[in-house]
Amino acid sequence: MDNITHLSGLTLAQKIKTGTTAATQAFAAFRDKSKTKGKELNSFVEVYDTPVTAQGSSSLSGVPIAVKDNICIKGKRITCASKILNTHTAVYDATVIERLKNAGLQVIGTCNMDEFAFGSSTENSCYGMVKNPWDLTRIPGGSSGGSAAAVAARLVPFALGSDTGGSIRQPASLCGVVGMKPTYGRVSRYGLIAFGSSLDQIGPITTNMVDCAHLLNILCGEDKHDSTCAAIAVPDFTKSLCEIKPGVRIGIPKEYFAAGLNAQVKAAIDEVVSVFKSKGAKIIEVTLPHTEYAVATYYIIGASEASSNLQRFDGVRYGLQVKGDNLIDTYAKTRGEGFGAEAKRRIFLGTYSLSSGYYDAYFVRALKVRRLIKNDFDQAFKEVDVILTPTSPTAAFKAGEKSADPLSMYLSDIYTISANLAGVPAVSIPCGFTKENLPIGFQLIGKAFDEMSLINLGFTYQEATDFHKKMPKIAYE
Amino acid sequence: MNDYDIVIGLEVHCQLKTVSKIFCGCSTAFENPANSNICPVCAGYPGVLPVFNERALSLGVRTSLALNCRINDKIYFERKNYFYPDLPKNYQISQFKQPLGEKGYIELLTGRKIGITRVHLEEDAGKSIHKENYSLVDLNRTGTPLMEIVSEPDMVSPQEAYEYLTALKMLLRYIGVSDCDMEKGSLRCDANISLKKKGEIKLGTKVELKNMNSFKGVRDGLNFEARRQEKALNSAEKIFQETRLWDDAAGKTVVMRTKEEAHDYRYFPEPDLLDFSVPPALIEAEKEKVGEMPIAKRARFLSQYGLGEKEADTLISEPEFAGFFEAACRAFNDPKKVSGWFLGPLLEQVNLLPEKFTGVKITPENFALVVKYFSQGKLNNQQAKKVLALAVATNDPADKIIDREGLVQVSNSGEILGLAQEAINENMKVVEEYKAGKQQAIMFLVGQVMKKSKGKANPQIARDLLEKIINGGNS
Repeated sequence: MDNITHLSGLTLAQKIKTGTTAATQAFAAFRDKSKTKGKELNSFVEVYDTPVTAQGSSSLSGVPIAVKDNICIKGKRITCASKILNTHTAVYDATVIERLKNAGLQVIGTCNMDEFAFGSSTENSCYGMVKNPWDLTRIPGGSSGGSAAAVAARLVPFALGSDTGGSIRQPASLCGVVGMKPTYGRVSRYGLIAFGSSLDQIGPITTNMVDCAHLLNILCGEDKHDSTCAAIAVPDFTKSLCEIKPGVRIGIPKEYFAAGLNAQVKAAIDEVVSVFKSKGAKIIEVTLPHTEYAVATYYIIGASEASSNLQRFDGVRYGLQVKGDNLIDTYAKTRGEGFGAEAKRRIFLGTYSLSSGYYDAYFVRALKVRRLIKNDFDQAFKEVDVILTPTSPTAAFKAGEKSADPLSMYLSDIYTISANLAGVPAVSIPCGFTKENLPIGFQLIGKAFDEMSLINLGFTYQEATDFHKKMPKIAYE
Repeated sequence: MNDYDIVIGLEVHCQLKTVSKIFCGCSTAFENPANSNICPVCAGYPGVLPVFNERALSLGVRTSLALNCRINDKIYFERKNYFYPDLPKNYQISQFKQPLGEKGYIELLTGRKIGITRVHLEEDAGKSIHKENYSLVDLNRTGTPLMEIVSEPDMVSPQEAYEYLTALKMLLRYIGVSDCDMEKGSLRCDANISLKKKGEIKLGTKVELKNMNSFKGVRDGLNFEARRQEKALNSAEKIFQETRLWDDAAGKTVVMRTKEEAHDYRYFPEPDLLDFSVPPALIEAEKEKVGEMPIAKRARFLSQYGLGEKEADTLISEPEFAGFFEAACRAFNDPKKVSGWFLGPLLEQVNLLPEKFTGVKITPENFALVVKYFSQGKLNNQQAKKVLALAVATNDPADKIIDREGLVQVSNSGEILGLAQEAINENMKVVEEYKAGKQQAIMFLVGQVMKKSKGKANPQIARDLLEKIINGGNS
């Protein structure tokens, strides 16, 4: 019999529905694999013995799912991979968890991540780094590295991640899986421990586009607990799922193919373009002229919001408390011991950008540039339906390679950040391997609330290729 | 203060009368046990998001309109960042750059207009209770909607600051947006005060005063501070820009923090809430709810009802008073009598009720009936007061009470005559005293008649008859 952990989420759901596989059996198979192989990869913070689930039904009922450790599951530990929250138990369900429960999915556990989602390598976790399933000496990308590694190693059919500047797409690319950041406002953020509130979105990490569409059906839609979640009708992504029609206009932004792009990655993207051409797509060069300012803009806005969002971790009501001589001392000692180096760096950065005297020069200016970046996309989308780019300038790098140099680490998100600043949806899809057998991914960026086009293009591509079917050795063990 | 002008501006925070908190569904009831009105949102748990309570917006808009403010086109919130244990997110969601309303004014009873700089909405913090070596935090108040009303530095004396607060409180109570009860903490006030040489245009260094617990405290604190600054200036001392606390018991102000210690609040737009503009329909609806302002009502009461200033002042001091009075006048058109019975016997009864005026059940119509019966002589003073006392908290119809208690006044001379004769016969000694010139003695006899009639006799008629009998016996 086939190894059920190699099935797609939808196929597994169908087997559960027809009674070929019991939901409990499916859960046990993934749980046991997550416990053993998950330990090798360090991809989980916690694997549950019994699933978190509810009576509910959907096209994915009974299928196990893992959740990044920054999304609240009532009664379960939630840590953001930070020492400061190490002991915290969530007192309520995030909206997406409620939706997963109502859809009858089985939450299997929480995935390791960069502390508070600060990072591009999942090395900044208080539980230690996550290993890339394709090469255990390399990083899986980040910050949703645990989620991407777990899906790539088939420890779970799919997982939820969160994406503030590429935290779903970049690890998906580096681990050879599909990762979608929906439009800002498409998925409720209620219960997601905030990093950059105006940038964060929860999204699915899957092995293929079909599962991605089925999960989006469950996750998307307005929420009375989140004012920034849009009251815009959500299409049935699975019903409209189809191959693209000839004439679809794909934009290639020249700024994304400049210096710094690895040659093997570039070659793989060229191949993707050929596939779409063969399907009748029109390839059009577009320009996103403010791209070069995206990283700087992102690190000011993201860090500013984070510096404020992280203030609540002060040791007064929950999480770590290190007693000091007085209140201020307790704050300082708690936060000094509780936060890791990258979290502190971002808090400093953000506090500085918001300080009086610097506010206009940094924060306000960044907001203005953000507007320009959004305008770039608005302009480009007058000419094209989607934009195609590499997801990451390189394949997975070695552990420790960039951790000493924050700036080079920040540049690994250079292609993914703009979509967060503009609030538009984007997906990373596997499209090849380097000579070292490391996955490469390409990115599709769509118009606001047009995830459907991304799904159909991705689906078309996956019908024509089989990169997404490749599994790392560990998946067979 | 002959050489200096005093310049005062006030910042008033008042709690808005909403059922639920400003960014979550928790109750705003404040007398519940500590930390019982809280949820993950107002307790600032990780991952929560605020959702704006539209009722708070309505009340803010109504206030802005009543204070003649301009409502801004684009409304958004900002985060004010600072660490404090009763502020669980360690930032307060407030408005900074662009308040809900700005550039208005309020007219005082003196006729002076005081500029209103801004009206903005924000969330309240919790309450810290400091014990000897530890502190407790009650988050019930956290997230209660607050409105901050900042005045221009237009007030020229501590007394005027007091008048401003009185007028503002009255206005806010009129439009039903806040209870403005300083003792319960639903109104708080900080003051800025500086002195400048008479006629000088440039303002002096201002000092912020905090910790005043009553309007009188505000006036006392400002008086002290004005004298302190005057003394300092006269002896060529520098006034420091600082925050000082008013110590009511000691009757002085003490330094709390200097300018150097001032917080950098790092305000920035709250990303968890979207910008919006106030719907024109909401503004229109709130305009209608503003109604007649106290100062206009006062003028009308003077002219329309021919009341004295003192009477008018009390009647307009609470919107419920004015409304009740006017309704009673519609039922019995004798404003002088209605006002007299309202301000006297009725308020006397009201003060006995634990809930004060909110506990009053008697309708203005029923009240007017009592006043009418008294005016017509159907009830004597004592009887009318008794009916009132019985009706205040029950609203039992006056007629029913009169019937039940047998309270109709006896004005029939024949019936009273016999009782008067009895009273005289039984108290010859008092009669002698009266005859000897002790005028007061007659009242004792009237009292005896009242007693014999079980309070029903018309006291005036009783007195007339007594005098007639006694004096007649002389002749």
